[in-house]
Order: sequence, then structure tokens, then C-alpha cells
Amino acid sequence: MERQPSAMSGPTADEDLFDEEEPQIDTSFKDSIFVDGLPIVPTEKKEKLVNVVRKFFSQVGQIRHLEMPMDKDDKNSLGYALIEFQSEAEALAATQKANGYKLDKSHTFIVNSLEDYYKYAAVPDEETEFVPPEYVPGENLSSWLMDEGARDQFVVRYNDETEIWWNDPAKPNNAPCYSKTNWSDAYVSWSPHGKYLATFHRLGIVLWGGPSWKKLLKLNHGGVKLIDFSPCEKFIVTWSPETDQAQALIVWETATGQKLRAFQGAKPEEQLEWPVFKWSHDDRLFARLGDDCIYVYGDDCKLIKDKSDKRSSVKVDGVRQFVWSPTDNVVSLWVPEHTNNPAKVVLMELPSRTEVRQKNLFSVADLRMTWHDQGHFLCVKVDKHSKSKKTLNSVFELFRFRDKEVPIEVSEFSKDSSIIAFAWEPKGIRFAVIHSEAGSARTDVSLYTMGSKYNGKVSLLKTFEKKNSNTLFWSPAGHILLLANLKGTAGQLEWIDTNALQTIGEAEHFMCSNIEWDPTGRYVATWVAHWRHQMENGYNLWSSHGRPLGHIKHEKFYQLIWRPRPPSLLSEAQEKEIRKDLRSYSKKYEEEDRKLKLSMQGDRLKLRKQQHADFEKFIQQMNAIYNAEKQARMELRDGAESDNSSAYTLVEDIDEQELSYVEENLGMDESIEIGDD
Amino acid sequence: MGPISRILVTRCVLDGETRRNGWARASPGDATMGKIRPIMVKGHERPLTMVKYNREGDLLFTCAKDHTPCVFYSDNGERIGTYKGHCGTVWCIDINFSCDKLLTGSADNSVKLWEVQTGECLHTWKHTGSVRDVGFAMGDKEFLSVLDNIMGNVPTIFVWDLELHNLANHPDCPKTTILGHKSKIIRALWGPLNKHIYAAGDDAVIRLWDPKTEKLHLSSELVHGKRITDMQFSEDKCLLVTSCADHWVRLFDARTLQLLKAFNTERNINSAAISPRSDCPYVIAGGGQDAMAVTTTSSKQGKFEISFYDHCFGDELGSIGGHFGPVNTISFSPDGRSFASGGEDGYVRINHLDQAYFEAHKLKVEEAKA
Repeated sequence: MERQPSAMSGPTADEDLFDEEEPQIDTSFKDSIFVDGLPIVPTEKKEKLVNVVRKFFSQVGQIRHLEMPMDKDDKNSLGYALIEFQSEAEALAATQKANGYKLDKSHTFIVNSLEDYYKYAAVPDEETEFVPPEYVPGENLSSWLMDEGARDQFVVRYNDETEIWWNDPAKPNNAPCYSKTNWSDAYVSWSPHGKYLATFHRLGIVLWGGPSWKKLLKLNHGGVKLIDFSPCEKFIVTWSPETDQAQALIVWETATGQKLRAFQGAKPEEQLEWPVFKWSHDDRLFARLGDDCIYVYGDDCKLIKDKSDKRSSVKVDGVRQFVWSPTDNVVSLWVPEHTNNPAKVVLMELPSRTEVRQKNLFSVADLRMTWHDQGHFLCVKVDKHSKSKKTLNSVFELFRFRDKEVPIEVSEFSKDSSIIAFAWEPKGIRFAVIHSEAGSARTDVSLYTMGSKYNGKVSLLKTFEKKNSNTLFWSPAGHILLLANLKGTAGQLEWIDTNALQTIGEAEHFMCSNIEWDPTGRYVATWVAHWRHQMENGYNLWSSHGRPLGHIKHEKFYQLIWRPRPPSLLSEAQEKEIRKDLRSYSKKYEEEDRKLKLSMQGDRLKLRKQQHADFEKFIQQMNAIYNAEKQARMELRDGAESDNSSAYTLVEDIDEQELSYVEENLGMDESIEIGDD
Repeated sequence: MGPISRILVTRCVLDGETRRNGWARASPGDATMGKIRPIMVKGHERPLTMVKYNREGDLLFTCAKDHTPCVFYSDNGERIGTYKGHCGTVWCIDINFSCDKLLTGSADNSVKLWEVQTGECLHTWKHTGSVRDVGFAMGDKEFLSVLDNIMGNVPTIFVWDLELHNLANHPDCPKTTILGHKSKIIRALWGPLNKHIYAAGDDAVIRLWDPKTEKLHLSSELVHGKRITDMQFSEDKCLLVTSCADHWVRLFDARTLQLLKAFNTERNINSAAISPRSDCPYVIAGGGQDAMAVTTTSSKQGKFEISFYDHCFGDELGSIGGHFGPVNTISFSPDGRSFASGGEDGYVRINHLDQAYFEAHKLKVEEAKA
């Protein structure tokens, strides 16, 4: 794959198809059979036996040649014959039909393909012990997590290049950690824990990983366009629009690369909604929306069993949408109003199919469900229309999933306000909303808290007014909220500290089209993708507080994706402990940073000193040459001394002319008062 | 003030338009604030094609796509006079050593020699096509002209004898004809001591021609990625700078064409110049989004600023904005205290540089030595 494009890459594969094969002589004996178990007959009777055998096998197929060898003295036959048929199929039929046929009491045909005869004759008689090939341990696929500086990686794509970089703002490096031209035909994608990088090719998907970026797995799926990993990376789902849609959606096992099951892809004249399958957090279940039901599959790719031990889909009349909880095997689903039943939101536990909670809702126009990252809360944004069905009003139904009976709180906005964005704080209990009064272009950002994980009460923390933003980006570590305006070209960015409830950074990234926090919440990348704009393509890196750290430009820049990290192995309590003792930990790192900074400054000064010395040397050389040519120059100019700028002097003339001068008494002395102002 | 301009002050007849078009200081307050004080000069109605100072630096000659080259006081931007006679875009301009003769090359297929003080056209050399560049040789006894490759012409560099005392019956055929270019030559310059002619253009190669033998002496292959848009010498002709359509400014050792430094400007650049001051080893470059695409986007992304690069350390120093169209041409004054830029917007901007500019390099050197 590295240098020599194999069948996976486009053009060469096509060439192979069109290559004409050279004619070859078929030296195999596929159309011949070996008939054993014939009676041993003397020469005189040979003819008769041959006729019997010929007659018998003629029933199966046309015999091209029949040979019955005799012994050395040509007295007796050896008890077997060789028959060549017209075709391989006939020979195969003969072995199947005639094998074991009883010619008479003491003679039974033993018919074998001649090819098999040679094959088995080649098997050595003595058994040799099987020596398994030596175990070669694979590369550590998580090696990037062991980086000493605990740096993060990201992949960037521009032109035909795909590059993987270390993010190291303290020590800007100018070479990527790994790069390759034409690595992927389309985009690239990380697996959710960051172990694999998936690249797209005409004939399928290839997964790469490990410190040497080896090819780890090849999934053959022609014309593949979309990929989705299960949350624990155990399974991969791919979809191709080019193949038969009845089999176009494939579930693969990541560990083996085995195809587990093919599913119906896009239905005719219907858009495929990606991801088709929604996975539970532990990879145990995956589900797909059907008509009046949800198809829930186990990790064996079969529908889950119901109470009567029958495999069946989960029936919910009129179900419109469902969302898995990110931490529990619970789905939230909603059903719009139909016939005389009100709309409802249901929390259902799977695979048991028990309803944990249900809430009826009225005059629902649209509904959107958003789970909290740690699964503590569920926010259901309900767009209600008024009785006249003319105006819409948004209401938040907040489910406290960790409390007994799952209590629900309702948070209503003033009428005519439209909600532009909503986002939960990761690892926190707050959420942010961008809302605007209907008919006004002004947008406000409000910050709410759920009070506490259990038995809390929702309350407004603060409303930041007149923020020209339409998208919310919480830091993955919580605490910091990045407001951005991605719709226009201005690209305003604003960082808000949600503990202090104040702006901590403001910046602008002109034409910015995408924003992504790094998985630790220490840095943010903003970029202008070629997909959105033709100009200004490239990316910026910022600290978590909005300090600019770098600006890289690439023509035809497509994407930047941070390499995800697997979930922390520390428990919540351990993390808390570390947070408490942060001072002592940070001391060590601060010292390291300081040393690095000093050494870098030293290096830089050294370099600049060298640059200056080189420059001076060069200038001296040039001046020497220039001065040596002075005579030649003067000759060319008929003796005019041209080098010396003091040959002429700069004279500044100031002409002053007094035009006229008049003094007048305006007679206003009394009216002028001084002092008051 | 130089000796020539002294005469000019007393003799030159101001043409009537000067007062109307005049000049304006963009923000007079800036001068006292220690900021760079730009002078906006509106002397042309069409995009500028070239700006050039005389040797003393007190006069600034400009030409544009309108047909009339102008001369200004470089100190305050006041127009002194115009040179009327061309009937096409004037692509290029050159001033002789003693600043009394002026050469212009135009798209009206001619090169004209002018009396600087009176604006009188002394002689016209007919060409078969548009003239892209002209230049006096050192000593002013020869000059070169560059023929564009339009109207079926092969791009050619001509060298002509110049007998200033014999203009009435001047021989009207070129002394030397340099063929060998296949695509447009944008710039041709006399090298040190007239030994070579440096030519560059659309084929992204700098070529050194020997004007005596008409043979190629040296060329720089595979250095530039796209067409070269401008090429200028330093004051002592030891350094050569090129601006290239691949967004890079490159600095060469003029004698060997060895690449010394390269700067990525991240935009189209149309012109680059080298500061003549040894205490300010800077290169400046200007350009911006293509004139054809300008109206399609907001002015912010046009990037019409002029950027400064320190070619000793390879850093970008900063940039000066102001033009509201691409910058077509830049020139440093011989004393290095100011520079002029001409834009697609029809304005010439004269920027007198400030103290911070002169000290920037010194500070860096001190920092490096500390």
C-alpha cells in the first residue's frame, strides 16, 4: 500500500482489468478420472472389460480417451483404468455417481479425480509436527497516549496531502509527525478512542494506526462513502451508494475485519440519515428507526428477544426519533400527536423494553432531545404552536435521570423568542442557550444551572446580551464556553469563563467555518475549509482562553480533526483528588516549561547571531566587489564620481514672506468672562 | 535638494491641473505622533504601471495606463509636470544619471526620449509592438527596450546606441537584438557595469544575456514556481529581488543568481524592492488580490498592504496599508528614507518612514548580540 498501489487504489486496478492475459497451456487433469477396483483380467479379456467400462461411463459423459494399463509382461491388467472426459463437469459427475458402484459381488468401483490422485499422492506419508509461526507482538495502538509532554495529535488534509501533527505550542515544530500524499480518496476519520485512522478508497476502507502508521485492516466495500464507528470501536458500519441497496449497509467487527451482517441501505427515493444505526454506550446494542418500531440488535447482529423469547422489533406506534443515553442502556424516544393521542416522550430501558418514564405533551410542532454527556440529564426542547397555529413557542422539559422516578422540570421562555442553539456543559451541571426575540437580529446567550446532580433546581445564572453568535462550543473539560458566529464571514470568537461569568478572550478568525476543541480542552482549532470558502483556507490554534498560538495557511484546506482520547481510567473521585492537589502537580510542569522556554530562547539567539554574522560577511564581500569596480564605473560614466553621495548636498530653503499684518480692536473686552468653564 | 531640482524649481512651469488634482496629506497629525506619514498623490486617472525616483531622490517619476507620465516632488508629492505625447499605456520609465533625460516605453509601439525640464519629446523610436521595459545603461550611452509578445511579435530585448548630441540624425536600428525568450518578458535590467542584461518574465526564469555576444550567460531554472511579476536591483546592484506569482519574494546574489532568502507573502505580489540603507536591510513587497477578482470580495481579504521583511534575519517586520486596490509597483527612494507605491486604484502613495523603522533592525542586532 505504501509505495506500490495495490488493487485498492483506483487507476491501477482498472489497468489490471484491461490487461489481456497471455494464453496458457492447461496442464491439469481436471477432466480425467481414475477408476480403481476393476477386476484383474488377462489380455484376451481386456477388450471386453474395456467395453463394459466404456459403456458404463458413457452414461455420465462423453469419453475422450480410455486407458487400461497392463502389467510388465503384458499378461494381466492392473485393475484400474484412466478415463478422460470432454469436460471437467462430466469428470466431476462421474466421480460422484460411479464411486462405490458395485460391478459385481467382489468388485466395487473406486472413482477419483486424477487431480485429487496427484494431490493426495504428494502428501508425505510421515506426519510432521506443526510449528506455529513465531508470535510477533503488534504495535501498541495507544502509543500516542504515552507521549511525555502529554501532547495531542491532529490530522489535517489539504490538496492531496494528509498530515498528522503533534500539537506543541511551547515548541512549534515545522514537520508533521507523519504525512502521506493521496492517502485517502475522500475524507479521513478517527475512531472514537483514537486508535484508528480510517481512509477511503474506491474499493473500501483501510484502517491505520500504531507508531509507524501501518495498515491494520482492510474492509472491502466498493464505492464506500460513509463510515461510523461504535462508541467502543468494537464495530464499524459502512455504507456505499453504489452497490445493491439491500446489502449496502455493512456491520464489521474491528478486531478481525470480519463482515458480520449486511443490512438494507437507503430505501428507494429516500435520503439516508447518517448514522443509520445508533449504538448504545457499551457497544452491546444498536438500533435503527423503522416504521412504528425500532429495530434493536444485539452484538450478534440479531434482533433482541422479547418476553416470550421471540426475536422481534420494539413496537412503538408512530415513533419519530430516538436517542441513546450516553451512559446507560436507555433510549429516549418521542411520538408525535396522532388520532386522539397526545404527543409523548418515553424513556425506555433496553433490552428489557421497560418504560422508565413517560411524559405527554400537547400542541407539539417539533421536538428535540439532547442528553447530558454524563447521562445525568435529558433536555427535551419542545416547539409548541399556539392555538391559532401561527406562532411558535419553545419550552425546555428537563429530565433528571439520576433521581428516583425521573422528575421533570419545565423551563419556559418568553413568547416569541426563538432558540438558536443549546448545549450541555460536559462534566458539569450547566447548560447554555442562544436565543433571540422574534423579529430582531440581536441574539443573547443565557447560562443556566441544574442546581445539582440530584434534587436540584434549575436557575438562570446570567444572560450575556447582544452576543453576535450562533454556535456554542463547550470545552470538553467544561468550565469554558466558546461562542462563535459561523454563519457570516466575520468569524467572531468569544471565550467565556462560566465560573466567573465573564468574557476572558475575544478574537476573530475571518471566514472561519469550523471549530473543534482538542479532547482535553486545552486548545481550540478554528479553520476555514475549502468546502465552504475558496479563500483564506487554513487553520488557527488558540489556547483555551483565546490566546492565538499559531496560524497555518494551506490552499485547498479541507479538514482538521483532533485525535480523540479514550475515556479516562481515573474515577471521578480520583480526578477530584488530583484537582485538589493541582498546585503540586503543576509546579513540576511549570518548571519544565520554563526550562524549555529558556533553552529555546538561547537557541533562537544563537541562530540570530549566526544569521547576523553571515549577513555581515556577505555584505562585506559585496562591498569589496563593489568598491573594486569603482574605477570601471567611473570610466563608463566618463569620469563622473557616482558612488559618493556627498557629491551633492541637501540644501533646505525656507522662503518666508510676510504678506500683511493688521491689528484691530474688536471692542468686545467687556463680554469676555474667564473662569467659569 | 539636488542641483537639478533647484533649477526645476525656478524654471518649471506648473501645468494648470496641479492645483485641482493636487496632493493631500492623508493624516497630518500622524507626523507628530511618530507614525508613518503617507502622502496620497492623485496624478493619474488609470492604474499605475511604474514609479521611479531619480538618482538624487528628490523627484518621483510615474507612469500609468493613461498616456501621460508625470513628475512629482518626492518630498511633498506636488506635481511639477507631465510628459504629453504617448497615445497608449505607458508601461515603463527610466531616468538618466544626470536627471535631464527621461525614457518611456509605451503600448503605442514606441520609446520616447524626453527633456526632463521642459517636457519636450526629443526622439521617438518606433517598435513593432508594445514596449514593456526600457533602461539607460550605466554611462547613458546605450539603452535597452523590451518588445512584448503581442501582435505576432517574438519577445525581444533590443539594445540601442544613444548619441545625445546627435539626436537629429540618430541611427534608428538596434545595435543588439536578443532573442531566445519564448514568453513575455516583464522586466529587463542592466547588470553591474553593463556586463549583462537581466531578464525575467512569464516563464519564471531569470536569464542573464551578454549584450555583446547576444548569448545566454546564466539562468535560474526551477527557483520560481510561477511567473515573475517584478525584478529590481539594490542600489549597488549586488542584490536582486524578484516578486513571483507563487506568492514568494526571493532575494538573489546578483552576480551568481544564488538564492539568498525567500519570503512567503501569502498573496499575489506585483512588485518588490530592496532598501538601499545598509542599516535597514529590508525588502518590501506589495500586491494583493488580482484586480479582476477584487470587486467580488470584501476589501479586507484583498491584502493590499505593503509588507516589510528583514532579509538579515528573515522576519516580517510589519505592513503598511492604504491602497484600495492591488499595488502594481514599488520603489525605494535612493536615501532609503521613503518609498513610493503605485496602485491599481490610480494613486501614488509616498511613505516617509519613521524612526521606529530605522531602529528596528538595530534593536534586533543588539538583541542577537546580547
